[in-house]
Amino acid sequence: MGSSAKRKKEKKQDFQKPKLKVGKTKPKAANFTSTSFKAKSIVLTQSTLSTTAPSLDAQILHNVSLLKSKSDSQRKDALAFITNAIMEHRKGFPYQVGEIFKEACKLLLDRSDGVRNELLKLLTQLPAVEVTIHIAEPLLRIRAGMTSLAKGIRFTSYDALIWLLKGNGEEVVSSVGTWVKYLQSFQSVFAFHAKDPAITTNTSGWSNVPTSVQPIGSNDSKVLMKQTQALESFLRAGLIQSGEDSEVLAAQSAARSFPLWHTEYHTMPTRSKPFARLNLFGPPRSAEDEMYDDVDERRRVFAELGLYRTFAHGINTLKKQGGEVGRAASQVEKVLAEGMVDWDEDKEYEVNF
Amino acid sequence: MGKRKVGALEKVDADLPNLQHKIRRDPLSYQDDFSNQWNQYRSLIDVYLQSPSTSDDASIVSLRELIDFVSHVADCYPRVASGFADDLKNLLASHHADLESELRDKVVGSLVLIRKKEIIDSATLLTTLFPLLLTTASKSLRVLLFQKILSELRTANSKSTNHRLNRQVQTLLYDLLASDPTSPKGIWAVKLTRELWKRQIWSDTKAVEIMKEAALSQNEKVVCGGVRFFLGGDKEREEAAEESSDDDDTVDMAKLKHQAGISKKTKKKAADLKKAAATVKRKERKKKAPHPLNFSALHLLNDPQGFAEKLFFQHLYPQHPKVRLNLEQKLLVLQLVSRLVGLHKLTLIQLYSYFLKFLTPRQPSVTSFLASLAQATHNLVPPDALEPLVQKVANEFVSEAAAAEVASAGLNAIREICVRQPLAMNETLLQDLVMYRKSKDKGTMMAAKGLVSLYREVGAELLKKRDRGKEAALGLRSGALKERRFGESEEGGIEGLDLLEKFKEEERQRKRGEKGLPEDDDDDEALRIAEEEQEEVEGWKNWDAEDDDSDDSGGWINVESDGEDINISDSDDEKPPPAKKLRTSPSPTPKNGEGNDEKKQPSATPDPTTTAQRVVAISKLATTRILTPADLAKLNELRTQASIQSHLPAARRKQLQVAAQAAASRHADDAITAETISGLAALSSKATREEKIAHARGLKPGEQREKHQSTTAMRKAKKEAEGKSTTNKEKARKKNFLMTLGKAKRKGKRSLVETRKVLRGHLERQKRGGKRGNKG
Repeated sequence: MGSSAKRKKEKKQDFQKPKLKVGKTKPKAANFTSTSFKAKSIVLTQSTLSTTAPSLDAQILHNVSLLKSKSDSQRKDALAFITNAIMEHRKGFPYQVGEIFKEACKLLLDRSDGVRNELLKLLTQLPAVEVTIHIAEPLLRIRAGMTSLAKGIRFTSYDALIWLLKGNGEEVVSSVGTWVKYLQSFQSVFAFHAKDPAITTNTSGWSNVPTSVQPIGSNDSKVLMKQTQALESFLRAGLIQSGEDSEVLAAQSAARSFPLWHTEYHTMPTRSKPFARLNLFGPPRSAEDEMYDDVDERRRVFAELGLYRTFAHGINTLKKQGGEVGRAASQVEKVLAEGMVDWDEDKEYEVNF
Repeated sequence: MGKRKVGALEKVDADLPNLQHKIRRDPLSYQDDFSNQWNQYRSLIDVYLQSPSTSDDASIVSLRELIDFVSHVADCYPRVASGFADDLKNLLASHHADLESELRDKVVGSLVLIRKKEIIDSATLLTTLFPLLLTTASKSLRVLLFQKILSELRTANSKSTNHRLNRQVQTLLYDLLASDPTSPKGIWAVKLTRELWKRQIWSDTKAVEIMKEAALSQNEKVVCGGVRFFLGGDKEREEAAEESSDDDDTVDMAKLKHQAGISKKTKKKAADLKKAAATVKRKERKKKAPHPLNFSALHLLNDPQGFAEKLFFQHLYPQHPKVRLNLEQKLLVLQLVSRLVGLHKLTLIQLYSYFLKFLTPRQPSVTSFLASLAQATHNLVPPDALEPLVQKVANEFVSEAAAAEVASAGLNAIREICVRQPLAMNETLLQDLVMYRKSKDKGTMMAAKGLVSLYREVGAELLKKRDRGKEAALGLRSGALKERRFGESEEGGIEGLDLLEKFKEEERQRKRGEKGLPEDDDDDEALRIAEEEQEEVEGWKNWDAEDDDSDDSGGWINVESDGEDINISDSDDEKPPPAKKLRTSPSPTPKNGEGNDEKKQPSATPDPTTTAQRVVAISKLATTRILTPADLAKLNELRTQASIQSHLPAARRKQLQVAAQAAASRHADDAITAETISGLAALSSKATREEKIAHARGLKPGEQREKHQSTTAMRKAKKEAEGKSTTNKEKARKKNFLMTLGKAKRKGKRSLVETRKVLRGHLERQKRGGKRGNKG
């Protein structure tokens, strides 16, 4: 078109130059795009410039604080720095390792794979003794991670669990609410089902494929492998008496500090939450939440809740899969057999929950 | 960059919404996946509970997502997720203060969601949310909770009234108010009740009782909330109801049918049309459905006397009340008290002396006080209590020296008081006040005239002879206009009964005319009664459909016509039985004269009946006979007919008169406001030119006409809005010039025959009335 007067006028307007006036701001172009933005915080890449290098202490402090950073790479770098520092200054490390451990454990459920891998590297560098006192911190997160939808997080969780069990197996299985809840998590992860009449009736329909033999992420044998390994070390820590009897140990320590009597009660506690058993302030605990710090007790609960039978059955099925997983499963079976060797299987136990 | 949105599971191979979708489709197959997520949720909750204040961002986000997920699918696995509701409740109850806000909102939303999935019941939900509403310090949470509680109550009552839940919540609210009258938390009870009242979910005594408790509490905000509810709650409810009825977009059925005729016919369109027709029908039925009886809160009050007394003696009367109310709040309370007193005709003598100190022109918002005073007046208030008040108003407000507005307000207030209790005025004061009729100020003059016209009706003796006017003077002389004594009240009647009586009379005369009897022959009383009886029997006959043996009813007449009168009536003089009449010969004694007047003697000329006589005539029919269903039906018919006739132009003037009368005696339910008192003051000052123009245009003050348009353009727009087309003339004018050019050219070249044909055609068309004619 373009023939009507109106259109002509419109077209003419396109080519007109805006009049500039002295002392007035320049009019904005029609296609002007505002690039201003609002921010609650502005992160500068180089925030401190100083001629003298900060001390190692300050650097570690700074890096520990960076563990809470929003940026993935910053968290990762901070972890790497701390790992290096620990490796280099094994003797005179100026910072409380426990504190670092506490902070780092919060990254167990981190979204970024890099951060989690770096975290695992850090964990392997930490001395097991230093960690003992803070062991409650990672346990909950590891349990959450075990059932996560993201494969990477699951992987990290199992790795972390295996590492923890290696150094502090007894501590892990005997802390509050760990034993039963972890077993239940494993049960759900492996999709072992108790012989429950309610479920068997549910699956009676012809179209129902017995889904229970397919554990979570079963298409990935790597995860399954890791899972089985973790279960093995968990059961080993929980069911098999480690080393000598506790009475013998007590006698040995008493002999070591001979003139003194009951020294350990007057020193700093070596285990985390030493009075947790008393449950002074929490709500009354159920069977799940209770702490079981004795092997026999753990065995009893393991059998009483019907978990033993379920696990034995499930592992047996898993073993039949063969391959790497089957081999790992047979390891688990061995642990089960060893741990429950003196347990009377014929005895009927009521499932009380 | 603002706070980064952290999606805990973003960019991973599986995501929760996906799983949720799958679970919804096939819960059984995904049981293990659910139990995994359930375990994760449990451990994350434990992580959170370990250190509620220092939890990191990521775990909070994933906890939020998991809560959302579980709440969506919890109904598929009731066994596994049995503890979910309790978890959420505990989380909210113990950590609402330090929960991250988004997570907190999610928890509230999830609770509501699982209520919708009927995992928990309404009572549980409400008892969880309501205490939070009272305790939380966060405003956004309060808003959310209030909204959720309200919508929960609405949905619970949507299908049918959930009496049990309502009672539970009402008791909760009542206890909240009653347990601690001084706490400001009661405001939530007030807010909730008011909102539910507005939506007509609660419209019972219990709700009013809650508000009563609120009005009597000891926190000023709560008191004001309660009082405002009584003053404005019902109006709000009406407005809301109107709005909702306006809201639903009306379907234009005619248009839809037309469109269905034109456009392509598909099954879908046919179904749409059917659906639209159904909705229209439903709406019609809804409109025709009997209006739910909504009693106003003031009428639902149990023991209004006690309430008014308590309000007055708690908030107004004492020198140092427990709650310090400012003037505005005090006025509200006063308005409520006076409203109660006026509406229920309560006796609260101290109230009138309380007014005394406020009745000076310098008192702020004195017109409101005057309005309250007028409102608190009714015909059972002793005149002794009111007289000093009227005197004071007259002394303080109405004087030559006072400003015009003040005087007119004073006179108006006096008039409003005297409308309700005419005995509050004495002769000298009235005659003084009447003198202001001659005031130069228009407002004052009108107010004084109002007073005069009032007293012409209710107490003409108090006026000077020359002020009484013709009608009042005549009425006084004939004795029809009597001053009403203290406590005397008017008798009631049935609307339209006079119409029915007139109709019956006409019918009777018509029948007699058919039979050849003289139309106006009242001597034959027996015959008349027999006729009436027959009529009555006829009236009952068609009523009961099952009653088939009505053939025998002829026998009744014979028995009745003996002269036995079974009429249940005490007044012997109106229809004396014939036997009696024969025995006692009518002796025209002066004593009997009054009775004769009412009896409609045949010798008496049909004089214009005075109102007093008419009242008697009306009561006759209703008290002497039992109205048959046929009578009632006829009554209804006559009533509607009369109302239709009253809309005809001939009746316009009469109608206006009636409207004016109605305005004079306003309904007792309506409140008197300060505007009623000060209304006439507007007449005192001259309106400016602009105001006059705006008034003539029907615009409100301050409003602007949006566009200047020619009358034609406005007319055209109006027509277009009505969906009509333009006129032919308009079309011709709009026609493209080039199109007309050809015709004009050809016109010149026409042959004579062609021209003739055209002209003839034109003539013929004119006769027919257009191309298609006026026939169809």
